[in-house]
Amino acid sequence: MNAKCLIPFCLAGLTVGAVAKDEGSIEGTVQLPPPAVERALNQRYGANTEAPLTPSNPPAAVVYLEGNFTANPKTTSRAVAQMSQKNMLFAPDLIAVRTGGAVEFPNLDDTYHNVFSYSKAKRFDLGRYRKNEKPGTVVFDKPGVVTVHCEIHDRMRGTVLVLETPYFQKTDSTGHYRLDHLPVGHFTVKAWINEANVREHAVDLKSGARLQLDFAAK
Amino acid sequence: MMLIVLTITGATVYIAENNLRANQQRLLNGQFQNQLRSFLAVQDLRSSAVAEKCRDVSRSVRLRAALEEKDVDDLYRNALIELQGVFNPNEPAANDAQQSVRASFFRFVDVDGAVLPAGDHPAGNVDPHSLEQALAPVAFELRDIAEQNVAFIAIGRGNDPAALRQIVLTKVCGWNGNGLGALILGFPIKQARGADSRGAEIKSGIWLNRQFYIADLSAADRHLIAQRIQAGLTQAAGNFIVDLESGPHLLFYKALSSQVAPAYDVCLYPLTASLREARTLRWKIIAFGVVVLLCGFGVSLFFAKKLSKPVDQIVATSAENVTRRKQAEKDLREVNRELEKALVELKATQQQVIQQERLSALGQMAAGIAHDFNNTLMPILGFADVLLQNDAMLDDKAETRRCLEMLRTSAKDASSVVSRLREFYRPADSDEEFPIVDLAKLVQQAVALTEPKWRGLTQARGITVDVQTNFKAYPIVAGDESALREVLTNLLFNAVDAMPQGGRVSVETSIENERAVVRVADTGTGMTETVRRRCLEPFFSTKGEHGTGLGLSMVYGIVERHRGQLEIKSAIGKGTTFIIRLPLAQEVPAAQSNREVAAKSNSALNVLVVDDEARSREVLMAYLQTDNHSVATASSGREALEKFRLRHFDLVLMDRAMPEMNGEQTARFIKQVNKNIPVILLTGFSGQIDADGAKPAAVDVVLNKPITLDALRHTIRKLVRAT
Repeated sequence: MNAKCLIPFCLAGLTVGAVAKDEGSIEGTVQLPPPAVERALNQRYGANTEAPLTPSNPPAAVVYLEGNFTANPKTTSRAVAQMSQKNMLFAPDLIAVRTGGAVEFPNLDDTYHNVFSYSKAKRFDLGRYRKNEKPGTVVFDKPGVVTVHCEIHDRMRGTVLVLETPYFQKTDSTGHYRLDHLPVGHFTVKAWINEANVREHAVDLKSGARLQLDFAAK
Repeated sequence: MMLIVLTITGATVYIAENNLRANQQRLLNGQFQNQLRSFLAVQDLRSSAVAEKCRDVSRSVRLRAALEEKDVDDLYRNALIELQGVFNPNEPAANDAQQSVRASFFRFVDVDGAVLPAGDHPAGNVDPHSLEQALAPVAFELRDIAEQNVAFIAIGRGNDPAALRQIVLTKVCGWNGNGLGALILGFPIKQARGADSRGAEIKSGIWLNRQFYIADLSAADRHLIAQRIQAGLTQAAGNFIVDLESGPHLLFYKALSSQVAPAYDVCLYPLTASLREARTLRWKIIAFGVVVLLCGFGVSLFFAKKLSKPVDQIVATSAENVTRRKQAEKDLREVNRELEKALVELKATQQQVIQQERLSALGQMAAGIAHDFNNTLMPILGFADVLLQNDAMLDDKAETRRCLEMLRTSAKDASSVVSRLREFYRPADSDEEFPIVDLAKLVQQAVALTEPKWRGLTQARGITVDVQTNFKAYPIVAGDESALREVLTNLLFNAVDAMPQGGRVSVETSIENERAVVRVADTGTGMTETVRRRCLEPFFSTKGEHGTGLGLSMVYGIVERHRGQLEIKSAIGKGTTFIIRLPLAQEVPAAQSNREVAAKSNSALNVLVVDDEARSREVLMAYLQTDNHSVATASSGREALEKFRLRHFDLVLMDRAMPEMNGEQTARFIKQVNKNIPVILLTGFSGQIDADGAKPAAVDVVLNKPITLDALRHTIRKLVRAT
């Protein structure tokens, strides 16, 4: 979180609309890095190279609102997020959950996977499991970045972004996002692309405001 | 006179010392190379076993994840699991071979080269500070270094090699290929130690980064050696003599592969014993020279004194004076002769020195054989090691059997290397007398002997090898039958080996330019010019592990021994022809084959046959009578002498082993009566005559039993013509 990107020149797309609505919203586009170049499967697992090679996950970012929320709404939906393993990749390889949120890691491949993390925010190890075996869910109780590995397949790498804020959304592959039902106040909007690339803007949200906020590349 | 003696003494001292020194140096160098080889073998064993393991470990996702999170606890806990077999703190190594592939410590360094502490994990003892210091040159460029590095580093204080470690540094990369840090495995250094041939202790150590690490050597000596090596750093290997407190030492050094700082393996051989030996030899030779000089001096003084007395009287009578002077001159010549005799003795000493040189050549050859022998020992040791260290393989019967079979094959090869030597070391003796042999017959025998090989091939591999003989003439040569047969079988084997697709071998005997010629031609693969030029060298072989490289060199040796010539013609893809030219046993006109050498051309002779065995006498008598010779017989040496005194004989044919008086003794008496009479000695064990030296002086020809009519005819013709 050391990105210092409060430079005003990237605020070009900031406009303020005047729609009579209590809750504000922010919409915009994060300029994403080009998709990762397709890497060949590791030769060590020669037996698995028959699995079809698919393009790795398209780039995406998580955009979220940070600050002191006076009315901190507890998310009522306790939907369990999913990060599955498919074609020797985590799909999706980036998800965001709220602190206390649970994630499932189902295996959709015909081979074993062993998902684990040594990250400070959450250490866990699901052991080896196959398709249709339920490895159990993981509850992320501390905010932070959790890097997820598969012990068997060294090119598999996923990220679970554990956030304290209830206001977050993952962009689509074009970088588009929309945050709705936002409270009124002074906040920071952050776009998390990877640990070394986090962009942020300060925003002043008024009642019913509709902001357009784009994140240009550094 | 004195000058000559002095010069010879000086030259002998010089040559002897030089030879001694060269031999010593060669011997020690060989020893050093052997020691280095075993040292490097341990390293090789380690690098092949450990390198791959390290690479695997460095790819472990858990280690990468832990290193990425800088979670030292996870890092060392997982590494201890992954490194099993290479590093195990709980199990002390059982033997030396194991110890050499067991690391004494392992550590991780992060991308900045800082050593990550192992905490409570048993990762072996190493002071992190000294490790960091030792690694500074590598860690500094960790981002740019190769995937794996081998280096020697000092991790402790003191100058014992125990303070040194060989480290294998393996870079650990993250999922995107960026360096995260490195895994370092440290191995103790074990050097082979031993004593030289005189029992003096050989010291060995490691030179690393301006410091010399060796046990039991004073600081001053260490410093001296370290500086001398530093001075010669540009060379990868070398040797020099260094004066230490304990006396002069010969020092060898050779660079070791190390990516951090240059490292050298260093061996010290004490020279005190060999220098003493050289000094003793020098004094012996000088003392001998002095003794010779003094003797000469004394003798001349003695005669001079003896002469000086009458000289006073001689003054009166000059005539007497002249005779006396003549006498004195004669005496002086006598003295001279004495001195010359001494000179001859001195030369004999020199000869001894030369003999020593020959012995060293023999040693060199032995080293070559040792090399061949070692080559066959290597798989024996290797497979034995593999079996002993790998229980799973030992349980697998098929695998064990395969290893054992390879062991057996190698052992067989080793024994054949040794047995081949028998023919090889026979010295060439220019005076060697050979019995007479029929070359065509030898060819037939050799073809029959080798038949299992080429006939067997036809069935086993479905190829056809056809051997044809063509006798254009039937040359008779003087030769060692078994050796010549060995030559032919060797050439036939080679010919068959040279035709993996099958083909034709033709063997031809002929007489050209009054020489017996054997051609062995194949239609095989042929030889390149380089191979053709080198194929007669000992231990040169193109058959890989199947050849000892002694076959053709032995062939060459035997042909040389028979004063013959060996010619090789070869064309790639067309085949090779070996041409052996041997001197004919007699002066037969080239066109005349031995079948026409009929008895009628000899005039009838009076022959005395002496043999204690009645049957032998009868056979010889029958032989001789077919050629119209008149024969008298005797059953003992005594009887032979009596008959010989009474009658005139042209020739005596005598058995060697007889009771009372043997053939040689009888021959000596006969020659005393008539020294011109030819004597043929028949022997059943020529080997003994050869071993004792040349043939007996009183005998003209030695023939080996059993004797053929042809051979007897040839010998008689030759002898009668000669007399």
